[in-house]
Amino acid sequence: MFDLSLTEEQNALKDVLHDIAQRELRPAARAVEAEGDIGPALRKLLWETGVVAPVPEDLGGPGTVDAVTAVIAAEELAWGDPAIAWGVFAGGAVAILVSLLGTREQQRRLLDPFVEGPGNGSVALAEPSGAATSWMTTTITAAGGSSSLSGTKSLVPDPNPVEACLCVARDGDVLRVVEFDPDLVRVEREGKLGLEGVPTATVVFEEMPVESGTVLDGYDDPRVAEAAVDRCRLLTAAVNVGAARAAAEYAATYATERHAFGRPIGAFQAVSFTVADMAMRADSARLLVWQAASAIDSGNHDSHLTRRACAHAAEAAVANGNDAVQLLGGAGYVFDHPVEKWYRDAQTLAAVDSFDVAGDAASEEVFA
Amino acid sequence: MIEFTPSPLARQIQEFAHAFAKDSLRPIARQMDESGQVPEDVLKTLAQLGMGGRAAIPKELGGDEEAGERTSERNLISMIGAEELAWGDAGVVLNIPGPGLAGPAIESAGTPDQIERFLGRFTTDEIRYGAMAITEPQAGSDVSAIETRAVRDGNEWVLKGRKVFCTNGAKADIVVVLATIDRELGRAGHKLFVVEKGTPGFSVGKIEKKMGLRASETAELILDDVRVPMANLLGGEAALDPKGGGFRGTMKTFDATRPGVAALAVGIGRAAFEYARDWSRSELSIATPPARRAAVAALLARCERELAAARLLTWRAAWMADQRIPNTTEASMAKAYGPMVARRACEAAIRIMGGEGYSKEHLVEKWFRDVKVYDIFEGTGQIQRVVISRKILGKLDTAQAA
Repeated sequence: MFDLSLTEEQNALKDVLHDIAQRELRPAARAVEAEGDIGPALRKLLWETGVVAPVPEDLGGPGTVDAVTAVIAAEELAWGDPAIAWGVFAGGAVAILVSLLGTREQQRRLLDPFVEGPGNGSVALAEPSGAATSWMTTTITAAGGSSSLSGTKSLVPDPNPVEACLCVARDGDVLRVVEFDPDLVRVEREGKLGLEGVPTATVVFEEMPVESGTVLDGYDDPRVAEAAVDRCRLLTAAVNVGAARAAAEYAATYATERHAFGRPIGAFQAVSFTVADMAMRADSARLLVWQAASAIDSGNHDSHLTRRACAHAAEAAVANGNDAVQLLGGAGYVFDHPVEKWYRDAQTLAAVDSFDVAGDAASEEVFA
Repeated sequence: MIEFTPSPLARQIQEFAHAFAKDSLRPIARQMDESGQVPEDVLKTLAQLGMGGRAAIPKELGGDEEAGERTSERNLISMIGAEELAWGDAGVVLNIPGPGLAGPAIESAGTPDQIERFLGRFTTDEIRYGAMAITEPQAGSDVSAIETRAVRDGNEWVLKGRKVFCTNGAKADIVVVLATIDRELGRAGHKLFVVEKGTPGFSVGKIEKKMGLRASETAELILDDVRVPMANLLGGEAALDPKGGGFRGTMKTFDATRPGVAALAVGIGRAAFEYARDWSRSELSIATPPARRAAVAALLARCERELAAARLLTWRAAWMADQRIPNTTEASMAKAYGPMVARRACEAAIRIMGGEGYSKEHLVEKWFRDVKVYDIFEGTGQIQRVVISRKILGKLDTAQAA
């Protein structure tokens, strides 16, 4: 039965994370951006919440997190700072993929760093032309008795000082998740528009040999792998929802405080209507993200739901980023306020998970 | 716990409404649009379904009339039913026998006795209508600008004024009329009066010719010293308390009706999206330039996701109403967003189909005409944004303006 109420646990978690977002992430955001590093203290603090790199209890971790709870968590942290939130979730996605797809041996070997502390993980998922899995060009090819991995990945959390690196690739009709060694691939550090607090790289795989035991294969049904990858994609969508909501709220507050022509600018409908549109974008994106996540939790995973949630959330974050900067005017354009950063962060994520070029257009199945 | 799948009961009703829309409404949609009439047998079926505003459970599904009232998802089920019926034909939905917009108005502003007296007549399977008369030629979005007056004369009220754009106004048995008892009082002077058909001085003016929704009657009503008894003032004597009254009752009505209007728009938009998608599947071939295919795919996918988002906004508002959580903001969000994206879907469908899109050979041109008014009636998209932004920003001091 249709229900939008959070469980008690979800509400409690949301409160805790909101508090962290407000007290820790907002104030740290500009420093993280300038340093190009989230830093060990923040990483540890976020790891301790148990949601960013969840390891199952029987492997010594705090337990797995369902997809709905994960997107609620990601939105809340992203409200504090989209870059920090995206950074920790993009790395922590290793734990999600290995927990869901790895064999027992792979789980023990790869999850250890995430049990001991905020392990550094890297998942190569997005591609230069988009994250839509149906368009994925990174592929595993078998020749003779061995197979190899070729393709290019974008926005890969810097795989250099990292304990576990995974690459999502297409193998015929199915998705596979493969371990890779950063020394065997070309790693090009990215200087980029936004998400500057998270060092990332473009990673080029040129017939990298796929050794036995490095493909996560602790599952039978290929749909399990698709659902696991979609969980990771939905975390990015949830980060966009958090960014969209943050921008909407920030601009609304500003509209009540800033005066022009003798009244708060929010008293002008050109401003107040924009505030209403921003709230609608954030809310509608959240509902689509929850719907896709809820489908995964109830065993009815559908990639189409993920794709449209990602597209809608990316669009909401970019549009709200623009509107927030616009409503703040010159103040929005400078570093005194966070909105220009959120706008750049959103547009960076949209580059590889965009709503039009890579999102809607990839949904060609709507008529094909 | 978060869950997006509607209950088995809701899904059953959805299937039932969809089958009816597909088999009984869609095939005669063009004919109803041209004649402006809904066939008697269709109206009888609709009346029997008891879908007139109260979302009762169809008897065919083993429910009784009250089951819809008892279920904890009454509002959600109306959203689902509304979308399906509008998918079949939007014009016919406004012809569903029942109290129409007068229903929620009487329910929210009337005394128990008035609810029984005015709405009791709608429990039968007869084809009867109610209507709501708010808008006046000089007062649309600004409801407070109405000029229709109600003057007390002993135990009666005497109403004088002109109301326009009343859905089913000419054929309604009862019309709820918003009038002012004292213009000096502003909104506090607004009261709702029930006027029965045939009351002396109460007459029908022009029947509008419209861009769309042509199967639905839109009437002008003229009140020329219409005398109604004291007991027809909704809320009774208590309504004369300046704190209560018509304006607030009118606004409460909107909380209940706006998500439903949005759901109807989503149904029209979905009809257009699905039609254009199916047309593209059969008409676009391998020989179609790849850029055109990609453009069409992206346009269709955008429509699909926006409609999905709009549907969830209507479901959220309805779910909140079912949970008795105040939903003014969310109802307005559904109403602002749904008709906007539904209109875009209809426009896209026409453009995707090109010359066939505007042709009367297909229904998409009709859906395009029908959907536009959903961003206007029950509060324009602009008014919804006023409501939403006031909730977010609070009441801002505008008095300092020069």
